Amino acid sequence: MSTRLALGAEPDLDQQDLAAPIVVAGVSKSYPRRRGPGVLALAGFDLSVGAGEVVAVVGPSGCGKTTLLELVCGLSRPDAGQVRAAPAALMPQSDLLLPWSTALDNAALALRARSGRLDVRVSRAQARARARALLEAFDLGEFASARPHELSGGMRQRVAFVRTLLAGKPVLCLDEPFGALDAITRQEMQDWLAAALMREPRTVLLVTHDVEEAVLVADRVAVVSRRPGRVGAEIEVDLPRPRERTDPEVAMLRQRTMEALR
Amino acid sequence: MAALALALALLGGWELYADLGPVESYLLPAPHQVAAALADDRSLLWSNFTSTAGEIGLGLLAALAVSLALATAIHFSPAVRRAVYPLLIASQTVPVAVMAPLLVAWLGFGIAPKLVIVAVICFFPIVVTMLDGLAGVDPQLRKLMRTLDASRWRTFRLVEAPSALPALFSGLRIAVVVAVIGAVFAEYSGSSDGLGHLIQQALAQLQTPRAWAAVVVLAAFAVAMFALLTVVERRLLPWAHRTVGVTT
Repeated sequence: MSTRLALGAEPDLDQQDLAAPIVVAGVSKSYPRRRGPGVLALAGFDLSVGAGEVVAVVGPSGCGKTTLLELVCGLSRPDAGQVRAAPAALMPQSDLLLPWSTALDNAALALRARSGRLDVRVSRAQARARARALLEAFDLGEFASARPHELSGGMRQRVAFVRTLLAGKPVLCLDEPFGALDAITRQEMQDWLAAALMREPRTVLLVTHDVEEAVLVADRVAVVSRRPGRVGAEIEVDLPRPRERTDPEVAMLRQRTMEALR
Repeated sequence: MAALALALALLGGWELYADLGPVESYLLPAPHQVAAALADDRSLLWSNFTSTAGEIGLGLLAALAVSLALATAIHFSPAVRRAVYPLLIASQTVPVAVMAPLLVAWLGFGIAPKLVIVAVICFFPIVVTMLDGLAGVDPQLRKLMRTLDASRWRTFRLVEAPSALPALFSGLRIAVVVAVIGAVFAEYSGSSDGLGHLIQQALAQLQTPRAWAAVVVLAAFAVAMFALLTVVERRLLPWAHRTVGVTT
């Protein structure tokens, strides 16, 4: 597992779990604006995620959740503090499936994109074979030759999730994966994601503003304050899986998370 | 239906004006005279059309090859963009009348100078639309490709180039129409055949209906090429004509 180090001003890694796949320590990040001072998205942000742990990050809009994922995925660097993360695959809110490709080829994109890098050679046929196997494992085999416009929003997110898994990264960064879906489909997808992660355990950082989603899927919920974002409270979700949204303990933890958000 | 009605109305107005108006028929022939010329001169028009169509077709192919290479180079290299893009724009302001005699001196009276002129005129819309298409890729998609460890070239090959195809077709549709103008001007500047050459000769001999018949052939050719490109695009890129990103 290769690691990426972004060295900032204050090294306080020793207070964190060094073996953890994701360590975010004292991170600040701001964005320049055309006029006036930059926007401070994150300030003094600390979070670590252990191997195989699913951590949900909830917070109000504009609390720097997406900034956090970009840092963890290595798409940007912190202004201060440290981000150490195992290689991470990103699943964006919009599925970003290529409209000209079938579901199969969209899933296989994760393998074909990498071909030619790091001495990896993946032929189109090999990529398709592996993508087909994983689609079938998730009962999506019959949709392999469908184009994105022929799939429902939920189906498209399932294909996008399979693509994310095929990237073969130990860490998954899910950026409000079901935010654009209607309420019923979203509930279905939350149960589906929880089941999928039981089948394919990964270290997951799930950004969402759906508190129920966080409690249903995650082992731990980090509540982030309004901009500039920092972790205000962390709530352990020590419940067996599969979880039911009607379970009183789920409802109670949802309530606690809601209170922490206020 | 509406198209036919409009065309008939325009033709009717033209016919009436040419027959009854103050303009001499050697300046503006009536549609029936043009139609007669189309019928009478059909073999003459056809043989000249084939050479003009050849110039347009080959010129377009040359323009396409140059455009794809240039657009790719500009897209990949900001330095090439800064160095080459202003020159591309400048190249479009050089009048054919200035360029053509020079090309004839260099390349002779054959097809070569016509190809160059058609290509010089056509590559510009293709490069500009292609670059817009390449730049118009969703930035989120580029980020996704980075997290998938895609190299710059892989991202181009798998995402950017396919996304730019609809823009490429838009550029080609503009290009086929200006190619016709380019070919006519090229032939004006020195040639022994082609519809532009025929128009030039016919006007000099006051055979105006023949010149207009040649114009009709050119116009029909441009419309046909445009329509053909539209059909080909719908066949090849059906996804480009759907509303994308609608989640249900």
